[in-house]
Amino acid sequence: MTAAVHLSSVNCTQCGAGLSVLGGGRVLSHVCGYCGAVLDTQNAYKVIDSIGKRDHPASPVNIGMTLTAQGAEFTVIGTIGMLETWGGRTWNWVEHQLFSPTHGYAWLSHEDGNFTFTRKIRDFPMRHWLSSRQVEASETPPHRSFRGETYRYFETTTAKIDFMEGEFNWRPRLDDATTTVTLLGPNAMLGLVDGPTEREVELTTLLPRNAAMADLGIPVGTAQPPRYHALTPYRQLPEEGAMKRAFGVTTVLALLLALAFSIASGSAVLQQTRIPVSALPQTYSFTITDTARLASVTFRSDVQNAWAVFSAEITGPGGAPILAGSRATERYSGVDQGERWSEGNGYGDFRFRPTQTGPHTVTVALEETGTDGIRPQNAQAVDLTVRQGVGSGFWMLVCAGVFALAWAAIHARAAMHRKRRFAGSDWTDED
Amino acid sequence: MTGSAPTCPNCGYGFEGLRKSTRMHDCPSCGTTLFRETDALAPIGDHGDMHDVAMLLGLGDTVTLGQRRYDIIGHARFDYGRGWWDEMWAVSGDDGAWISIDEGDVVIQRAIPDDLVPRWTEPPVLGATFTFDGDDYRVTEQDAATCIAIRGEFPELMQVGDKHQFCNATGPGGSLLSGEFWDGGRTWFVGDWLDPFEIKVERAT
Repeated sequence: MTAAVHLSSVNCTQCGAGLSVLGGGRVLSHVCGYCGAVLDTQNAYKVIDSIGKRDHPASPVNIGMTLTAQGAEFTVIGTIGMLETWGGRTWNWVEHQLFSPTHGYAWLSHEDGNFTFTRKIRDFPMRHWLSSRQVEASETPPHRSFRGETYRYFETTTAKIDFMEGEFNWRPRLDDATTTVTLLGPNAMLGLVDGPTEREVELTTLLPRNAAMADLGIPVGTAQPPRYHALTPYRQLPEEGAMKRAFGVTTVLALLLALAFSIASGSAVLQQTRIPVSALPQTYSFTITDTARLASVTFRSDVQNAWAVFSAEITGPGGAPILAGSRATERYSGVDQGERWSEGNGYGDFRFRPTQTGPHTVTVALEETGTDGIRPQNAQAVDLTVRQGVGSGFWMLVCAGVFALAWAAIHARAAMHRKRRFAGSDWTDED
Repeated sequence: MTGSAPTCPNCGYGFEGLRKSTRMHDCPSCGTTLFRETDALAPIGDHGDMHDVAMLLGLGDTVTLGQRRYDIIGHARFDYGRGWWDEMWAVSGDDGAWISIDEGDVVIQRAIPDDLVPRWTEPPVLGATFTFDGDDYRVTEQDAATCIAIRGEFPELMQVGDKHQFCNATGPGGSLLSGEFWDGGRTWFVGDWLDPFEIKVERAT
């Protein structure tokens, strides 16, 4: 409740020290920073407990500092030192209670040089509560949905209070332990806090460090350098979304063009069908008029369960050989365990780039032949086709590959960031 | 809206555009609290001192909650001894709701019809549990309060100095039941907690 009377200070009822009153009407306890007395703010500041004189945990944040978080102005009103011990190791961190007259109570935490802002939320569906016991029983990292985002299990922390000073909207006690199951979402952490008396759900966001320090009045150079935090935001490349779309689209376009170029068959300048193999070698003439694009030589034989290698020697307008090439034609078929199968189509071709227009010749010969399988048939005749103006999709394919790599690199960068965020998780597959 | 413009019987201030549902309001000119009768306004007291403090939302503001926009037309403040909280009467068309604000704890509630209210005729004790509308509720707060200031329009009679006991009971999924008890009467309200960071407020100009 909003404080009825604006108190600026009270005297500790145990040691008489002056204590600043910065919180609101819902403050329940005030821990004297001088003598450690825990005072009941709702009952004339009577002493209800004492933590004695204890060393103040290291934190650049002090009671009375102010900062703006998520658009609301807060004042630091309390400090809690937290301690976690597990597996022989110890972790310490400091949490500061914040108060805003308009937005209520929240927490500012300082750990590993980072500042996080934590506030209680009330709209988490408690029937989806996740306990540490449920986590231990899970075979895969549990996850929960909240406000349209997915939060995946990150860690379980059981910590106890080992220091407190200032004002709190609850009554903390030394060594009070809370177990928090933390789930990591895209921009925030969900903390499912199982405390001594109640369960609460908290939402934590990472504050921009330099802005927070400037707001609090802490010189940037005096705080420890920050370590990577799981809530560190992903830094998008300039126009990353546009780049992803552009590389994706250009990859598809390049592939389509490569396909189109590959199936551009050009026009036939020589077509000889059913050339008896027994009559080879044979020489035929054709005329090239297009040197801007590729030409192709295609063989088609009537082999069956056999193969035949045909060669073609091409001469240019001057009669000098400009190219020699050979291709195998093969075709096999049969029945295997009741199922028909076939392989090969009797075709073989190669492409070349003509350098001169004018009359050319091609000499076709049978190089090798052989059979394999049942009821084989060696090549009896061969069809020969020479085309010009044939397209090639090779370079477009190269372009598609480059664009696809760029697209994959951008996705991989984001994926690596996601992986790094969960690197600090305590989840193991043995859990 | 009414067609006629009633005037303050104390100072003659004219009130244009009072809502049909308004049962009482305060006079911004002389500070008199006015009860609306059939065709006249009757003075029923002073509207109290409303100390100026930072508030999440205030009289005249427009608030967007989800898909609905509410106009804040009434503001009452209740003292509980050690502090106070604020109750805002918010209207959206013909719909009206109470928005309670208490140091960042914000809840929107509507009155429960008399035939459906929980069975309690006295404030249930702290920790008491009961079922309402099929859900389990637990009393998490119980205290007494006094109305110390009122501004704007309200659908019911309220007076500075009115005392009542109240309780809050927490239900599943962020729902909250509140009961108010006074000599010879009780009222229950039910609603949901609101996230103060998610509330969009257009300030009155």
